[in-house]
Amino acid sequence: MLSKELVAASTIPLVLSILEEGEDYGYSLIQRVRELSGGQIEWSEGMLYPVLHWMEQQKIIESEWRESEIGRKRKYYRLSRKGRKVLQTEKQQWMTVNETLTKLWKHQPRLT
Amino acid sequence: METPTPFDLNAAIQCWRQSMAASPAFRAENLDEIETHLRDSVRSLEAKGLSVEESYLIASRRLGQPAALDREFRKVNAPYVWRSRALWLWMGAGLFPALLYFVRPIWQTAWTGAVAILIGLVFNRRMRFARSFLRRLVSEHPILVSAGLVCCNEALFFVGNWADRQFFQTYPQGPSEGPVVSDWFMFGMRPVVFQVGPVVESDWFICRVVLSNVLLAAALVFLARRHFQSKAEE
Repeated sequence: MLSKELVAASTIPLVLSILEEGEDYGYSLIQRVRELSGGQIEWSEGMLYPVLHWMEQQKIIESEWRESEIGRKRKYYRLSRKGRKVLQTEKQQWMTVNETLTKLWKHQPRLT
Repeated sequence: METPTPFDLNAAIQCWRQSMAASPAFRAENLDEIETHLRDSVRSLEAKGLSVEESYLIASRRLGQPAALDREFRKVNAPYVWRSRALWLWMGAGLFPALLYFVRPIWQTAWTGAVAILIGLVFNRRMRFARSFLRRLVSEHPILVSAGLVCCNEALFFVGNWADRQFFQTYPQGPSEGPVVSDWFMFGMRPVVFQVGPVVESDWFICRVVLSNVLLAAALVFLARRHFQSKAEE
């Protein structure tokens, strides 16, 4: 299981990356992250919504209320133009962290 | 032997929703979205073979602690939360002239307000997570209403006193014909000014002061109740 801090830091890039594939709604976003991470990333379900609303206020994502297949109204989120730019920045930053750590861990000094 | 009452999912969700709707942190739209999530989660757990009751209990627990949700939603809905607080302050301000008419001395009104705040604070501590609007009404809102009352009381007293000294009783004449807010302001101003200066008022004017403020307060209570409980009762 990931630490709370890492889960919190990765929430926005994860949401943006899923929405890059197409529009989605809150419950489905949580299920997708759970599946993709093999249960390693567990979001406190209700806590995702304030994050989504904050992202909406920042105009990173857009939303629309539509009737779902079961007849209930559901809020669907999609990436905005600004969101695509934010996602590119996020990707670069996370790749930099990933590359740096990979280099460090590949070149561990041998003590023997 | 008594047969156990079957679990009613809709009633349980309604109850959960009403408890959440008591907080100004959640907008009706937020609750709609979380309710849909809760129902999706219940349906998914039921598909795995759990009973409706078990599914509901697990799904509502997975949503997170209501206090934590309240805290997070307060952050994103801050303007909305403050708008609702302002509404209650305004209500206090609107009730001020009517109260002033019944409780003449300024210090007495301030004292009443201070006691109301203290009582409100004690109640608020005990019922921090009040489960219904009505309970919240006796916990948080009296504080705001009282704060509005005391603020207006003090502000209008000093403005009236200052105006009395500066302009030798050149006070606003007659009620404003403009919108309700300016109408209220004129009404709100005059009783304080009259209290400072020895002016005899007609019964008709006092009736209008009281009536306009009671109507204003009733309108605000109605709007606030609709605001908080609009979709909770659907």
